[in-house]
Amino acid sequence: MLHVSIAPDIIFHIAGFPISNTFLTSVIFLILSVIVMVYFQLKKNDRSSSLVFFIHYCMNGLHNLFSPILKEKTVMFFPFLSALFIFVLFSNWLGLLPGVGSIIIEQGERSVPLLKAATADLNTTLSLAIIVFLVIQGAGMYSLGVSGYLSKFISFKGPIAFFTGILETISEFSKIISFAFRLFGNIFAGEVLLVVIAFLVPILAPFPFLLLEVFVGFIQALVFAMLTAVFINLAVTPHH
Amino acid sequence: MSKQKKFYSVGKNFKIHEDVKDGTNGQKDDSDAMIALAKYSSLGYYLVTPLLLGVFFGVLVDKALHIAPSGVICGVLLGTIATFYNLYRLTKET
Repeated sequence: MLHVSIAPDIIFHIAGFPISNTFLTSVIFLILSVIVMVYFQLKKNDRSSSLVFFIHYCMNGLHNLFSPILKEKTVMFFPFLSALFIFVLFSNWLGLLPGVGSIIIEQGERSVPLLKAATADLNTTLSLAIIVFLVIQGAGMYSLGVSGYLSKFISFKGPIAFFTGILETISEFSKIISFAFRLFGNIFAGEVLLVVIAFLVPILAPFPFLLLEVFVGFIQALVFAMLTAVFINLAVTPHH
Repeated sequence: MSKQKKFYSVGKNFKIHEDVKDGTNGQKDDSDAMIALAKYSSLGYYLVTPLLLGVFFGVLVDKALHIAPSGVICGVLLGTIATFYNLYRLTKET
């Protein structure tokens, strides 16, 4: 029977800490990225390595994407933005791999998938959104000073400025919800769509949807990173 | 290799516009397109989240101060104004 669960399933506990299937996928991605990083560090001067060339090419492309937004501040935020982009992108794409979602383990009376895309879990996207929110505030305070930055939200220059400050505060907090639900909604909806199509017509029919999900995964990662860059740029720019 | 693109337009006052695209300008165009994609693909969330936040905090205030339904009404009003404020800012930025 078709089983769709919004919440991640707890696979096992380590010293009382619950390990869910989405967390397990994140850890696997983390280990794989560390392996690639170590390989890159060892081979970075080897011009014949195609992986090193490919990583250089991707990083250059990403840098070109962010540098017109952040200009001279790109150097400071590029590591964070590129890490965010790569984590979201591969978390989205990992959910499409064969085995992720289809390897089922028995847990008491329930059967749950061993692996699940990390971004199809609201906990992951919400924590990413909170990290982005904190970085935006930190960047703003670092560039404009604490009082300079907070004057955007709390201003006693006049009734209109005071009211605009309240609206700015609401808009600022709504970024967390917006970031978290957009990514979670898109990726989770994609997973459900794939499961339903595969359940209705198992042969060939899921293929175009799989391609669509590859595209959606890329676009969502791009939107997440680009919006972060745009909001960081807005935060570090002095307001009037 | 740098790309070159030329636009020629003939109007009332004869003008020749030459837009020579070097690497930097090309990057900027790509980035502008991506910013537009990021902004407008999330337009729905951008507009609806302040409203949701207003309702959420309205309910919290109602529960804490036992003043239902004034908190929710204020929250919805504030959220709606914040939504329109976001829309205004978005058009101003564009």
